[in-house]
Amino acid sequence: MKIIRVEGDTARASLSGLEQEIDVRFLDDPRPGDYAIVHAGFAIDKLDPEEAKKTLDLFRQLSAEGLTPPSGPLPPEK
Amino acid sequence: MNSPRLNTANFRDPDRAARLAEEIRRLAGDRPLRLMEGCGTHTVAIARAGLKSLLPEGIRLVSGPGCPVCVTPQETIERMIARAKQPKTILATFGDMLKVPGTSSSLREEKSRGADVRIVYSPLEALRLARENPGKRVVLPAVGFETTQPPVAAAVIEAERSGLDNFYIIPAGRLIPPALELLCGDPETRIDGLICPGHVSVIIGLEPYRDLARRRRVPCAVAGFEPVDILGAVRELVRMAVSGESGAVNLYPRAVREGGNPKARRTAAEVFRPVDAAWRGLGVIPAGGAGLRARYHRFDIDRADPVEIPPAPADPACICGRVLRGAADPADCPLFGSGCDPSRPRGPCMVSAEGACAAWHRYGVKG
Ligand code: SF4
Repeated sequence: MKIIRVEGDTARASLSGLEQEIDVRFLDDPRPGDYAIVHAGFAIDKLDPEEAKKTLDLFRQLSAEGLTPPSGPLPPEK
Repeated sequence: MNSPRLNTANFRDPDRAARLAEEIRRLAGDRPLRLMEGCGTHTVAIARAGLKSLLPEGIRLVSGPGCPVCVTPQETIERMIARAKQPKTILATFGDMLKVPGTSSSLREEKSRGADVRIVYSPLEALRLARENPGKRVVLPAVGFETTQPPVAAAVIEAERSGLDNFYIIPAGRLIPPALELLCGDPETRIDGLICPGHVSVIIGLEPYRDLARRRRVPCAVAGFEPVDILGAVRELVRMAVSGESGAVNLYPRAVREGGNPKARRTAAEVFRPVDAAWRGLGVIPAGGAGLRARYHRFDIDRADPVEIPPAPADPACICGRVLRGAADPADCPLFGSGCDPSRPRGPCMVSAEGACAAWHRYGVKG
């Protein structure tokens, strides 16, 4: 959902034109224009459009050699 | 100050999906592999997009214990129904609990007989009901995973702060990593890789899976819910499984941060602590449930007003328990589609929108 307006712990947010009141107490610095993942009436985190792009690029570049995840290299095993 | 636009259409792009499917085919060769989706929303997304048909024969996607309503034990279902029948009680429940069959009725049936059962979307709505109905008590069955516990905890904390004395919960929260851990060692489930739940991971982050991957040597991939997300995760799991690697990767970084959401976790941890808890189909899992901390015990309706619940065996004909362990597919159940369907469900897996039986039925998955 996209945040339209923030007032304290609550915000108005919309998804495909439908507006709803959500609780934003679990977000750091919620602002109008942010995208939020909403569960049980609470925004549980923001969605990051930049990371969305990176994931697509990553899937495009995949090769049989494997991938380095955006969160950093795989931890050493064994 | 304009934030960049979020474009998710590319995650549904058929060409990207086809390319990933092709890579999966190439990487897997004729190796049979079983990958479990640890989240009901994945089960639904896979069924809806028909992803099984894109995958090679040997790659099996099995659904797991990722539907909160489904894993709720029968005893808890009976408890909710018993509460709904009590006078001066409003049972405030999330919607998908309504039709889950108990031994002799369901919340929906009790509602039609006059019980005050209200559907709430947020735990804060239950709190509001309590404020608006001082002559009654409001009971919220707190069914849900790590994603739901912070909102429930927030409601409990508010009730405590405002001195509300007619708001209660039935603590029924469950914790996903201990269940996945158990299934990783289950010879009937036989998992070669885990598609880790997207929204639970938003809260808990990557560490629990790294830990699981280290100890159980199982590849783990956190994934979003679009076809390209899921195929991307399958591709990476297949690659890791074939090359004998284990580890945890985050393929949903647009939503999941490495450390999860510490604020939400702190709120949940203020109110709840891990306790041993029964799961439908999986038995009692050590530290697999969210119990109230002692200072919040007064919000536990079963402490405030204990009720005797007669033993409640689950319907023996329903194989939900095995479906939840990934030991059977919905289509393996003789009742699937003939005797059990969403209009007359025999088990919770056919009730909840996130249940595997409901998803298979709705989208015509054959197995
Ligand atoms: S089809 Fe119905 S009876 Fe069979 S396992 Fe699923 S919910 Fe239970």
